[in-house]
Amino acid sequence: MAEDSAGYDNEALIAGLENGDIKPQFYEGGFKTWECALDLARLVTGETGEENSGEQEEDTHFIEVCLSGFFLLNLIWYIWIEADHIHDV
Amino acid sequence: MPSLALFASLLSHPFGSEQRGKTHFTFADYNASVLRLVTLPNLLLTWHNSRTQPDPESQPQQRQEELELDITPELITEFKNDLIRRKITISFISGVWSPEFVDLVFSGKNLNGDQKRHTLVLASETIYSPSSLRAFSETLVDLLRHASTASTSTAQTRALVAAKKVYFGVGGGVDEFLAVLADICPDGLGVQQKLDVQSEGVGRVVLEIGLANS
Repeated sequence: MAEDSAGYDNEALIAGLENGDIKPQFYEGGFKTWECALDLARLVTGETGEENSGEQEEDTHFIEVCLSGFFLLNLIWYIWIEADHIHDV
Repeated sequence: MPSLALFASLLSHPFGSEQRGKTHFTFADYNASVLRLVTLPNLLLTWHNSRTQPDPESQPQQRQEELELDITPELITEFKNDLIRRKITISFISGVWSPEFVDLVFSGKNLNGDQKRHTLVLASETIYSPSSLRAFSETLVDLLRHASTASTSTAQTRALVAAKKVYFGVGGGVDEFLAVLADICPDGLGVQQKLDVQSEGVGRVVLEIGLANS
């Protein structure tokens, strides 16, 4: 993902990721997909399928406190795989 | 990422009912860069993909082209307008887990103080570090207590925490997490295991956590 504006110090953040995922108090793992996030995504969408049908009257507040980073391409492949659009991965 | 799946699920249902409540997503991450470079683009891409269906017959080259998206001002406007129509609002918070973080979560014009609502806190892989386990646990309990003021018998407050049972080499795990929770909240929390994944490597769980009297 490219950013046009200057001033964001992403180089230091991304550099050295191949040497280890976590640097305490600097990088806490948000750029990679971890297995538990997938477990949770499947559980929540299965569980709240009916509640999310759009017919409920109450408001809903979802608060995500995760290591939620996800490379874009991985996301697309995930959605397609889950929808059985691709069978040969 | 779990919220992304929820977002996609919401978008898959046609809107139209005037009775439908509002939905607010709060995304939090330690790094603002993650929110800016990954979370928000993923939301945009998820929304875009909910409007178009990839062709299962297309060749890999065509699929690669389908993955490219020009982010134009018009696309952004359309995205924003669609969210308004669907009564979906989004906020982003970066930084450490703390009382100030909790205040930020519940601040803002999108959360009306008196309106009753469901609250679901989603946390994944957040208990790996013994040094941050206490801060996370206190924040989690704080979020639940704060959100429970908007609960009713039909609008509930709960958290789902997904984690590996043990984080080898790092030190955190489910047993340590439960011990810290018991220490923070002696009145008790309702903890229920919703998922238990046995695998070749480390097992994984999803725990549902709520305030004991809710």
